[in-house]
Amino acid sequence: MDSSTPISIDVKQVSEELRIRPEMYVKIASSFVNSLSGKLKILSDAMSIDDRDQMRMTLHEIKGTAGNLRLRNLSAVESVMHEALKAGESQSRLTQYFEALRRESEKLQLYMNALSARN
Amino acid sequence: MHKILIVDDNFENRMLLAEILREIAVCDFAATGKEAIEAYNMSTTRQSPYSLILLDIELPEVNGLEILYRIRESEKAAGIALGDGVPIIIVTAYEKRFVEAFNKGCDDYILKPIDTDVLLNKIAAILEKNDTA
Repeated sequence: MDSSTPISIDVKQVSEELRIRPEMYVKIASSFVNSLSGKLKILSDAMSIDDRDQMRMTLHEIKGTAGNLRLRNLSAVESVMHEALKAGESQSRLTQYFEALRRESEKLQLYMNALSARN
Repeated sequence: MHKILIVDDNFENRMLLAEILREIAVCDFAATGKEAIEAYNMSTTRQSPYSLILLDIELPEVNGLEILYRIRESEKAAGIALGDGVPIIIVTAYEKRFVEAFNKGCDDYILKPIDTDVLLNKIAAILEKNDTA
């Protein structure tokens, strides 16, 4: 899990793969990325009371949409945290993974905002 | 144009599916199990049935498997034989849920992350079968 990996999304290629219009891809992906801070807040709140069901549900939601939109860096970071949760790893380890997820989300948000501005 | 009900609690997943289906269908949306049941009931009351339902399993309130069960029970009560009801494709990230979904009467499944070609092929096969029935 290397959160220093730069983000690069080939909108044309992903849109062709999904068979959707590129402008719609940017619109849908931006909407998702902008909703991430809210989802991370839910995740953070769940972590603070060790509500693992809520953590699982929130991670599952992020995973499903990130995967559908081919946001591979985010999916990869999420998967590590999801597996750690399933394995019953400690709260401190989950916090580390959460921080990596938050950093990846912030990078993605900056990237998508720049992409939206160009389109 | 066909009429498809997309049931998914995530806004972006609903938008993505509608965009993928834009050339073959007009889509309605439900974000919860309750909304899905209401949309289905309304479609039968108005005699404007859906050509297909795309149903996510992980939903708030009433999960997708319960919705599937309720729809099939409703069809059974209306004298509609299994296989003649509204086609339902389950959308899930969990392969293990398929057996349960098939036992409850789903017609097919698609795994997340969605492969558009697989999805469109499965939908085309079901719609074609129903068009010729």
